[in-house]
Amino acid sequence: MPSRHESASNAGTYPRSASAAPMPGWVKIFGVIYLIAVAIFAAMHFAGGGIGYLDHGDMQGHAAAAEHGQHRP
Amino acid sequence: MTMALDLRKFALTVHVIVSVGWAGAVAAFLTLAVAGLVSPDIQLVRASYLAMDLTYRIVVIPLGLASLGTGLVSSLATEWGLLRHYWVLAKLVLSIPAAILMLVHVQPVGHMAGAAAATMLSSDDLSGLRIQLVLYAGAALLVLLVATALSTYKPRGRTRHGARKLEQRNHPTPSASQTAGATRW
Repeated sequence: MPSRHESASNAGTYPRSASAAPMPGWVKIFGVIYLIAVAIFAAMHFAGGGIGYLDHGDMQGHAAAAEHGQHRP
Repeated sequence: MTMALDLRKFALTVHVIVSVGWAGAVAAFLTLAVAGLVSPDIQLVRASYLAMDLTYRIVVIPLGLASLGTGLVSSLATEWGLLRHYWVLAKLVLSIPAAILMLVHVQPVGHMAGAAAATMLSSDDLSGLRIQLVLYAGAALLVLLVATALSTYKPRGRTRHGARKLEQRNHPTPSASQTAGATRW
């Protein structure tokens, strides 16, 4: 049987009671950074990079070469 | 819906093990991706991409899916809940896109390994894809480190849903207390 202090300090134990509060500052900062990261990822993806390399570009030539077992120095 | 303490601890232990393992596997993947990008040794480059494919399919993906699954179980089956605390919600919005991107990248990693197995890659070959693998592996590792920090620090803050649930628990209405009593196990 864990003590009250032990159970409170362990990860995964029940949270402490807290009254309803406005959104904390760290959540706002996290949200802004998250949106910026998503925007950067989307910009990279739609600018022709990202996973698009699979659909067109230099991947197809190598796929054909791989099928024929060609070795390129 | 809550679990017994022993079961809860077990679920949390499994979640920590697979999550840390996931981060470690991604770190190894990033190391191989960097080696494949910058190494002048052709044999090392080929070996790196072949090892990346194997590591990705056998270690990274199973651990990633297990981490997501055990995280969902650990949150839903305890008082933490999935949508009650901002830190849990933040981990969720980090983990789900990371898992989706991880699954989407099976094909590029496989193609890269196939090309490395069949051809002698020069430093210019597939440079875009090689850079992409390094960037995405680095971003994935950063996401996993942030998720680990969130789990460790558990920054305070309840969502509206969490505040409402807390209010219901502290001041239960007769009908709400009957419902809660009926569903608890």
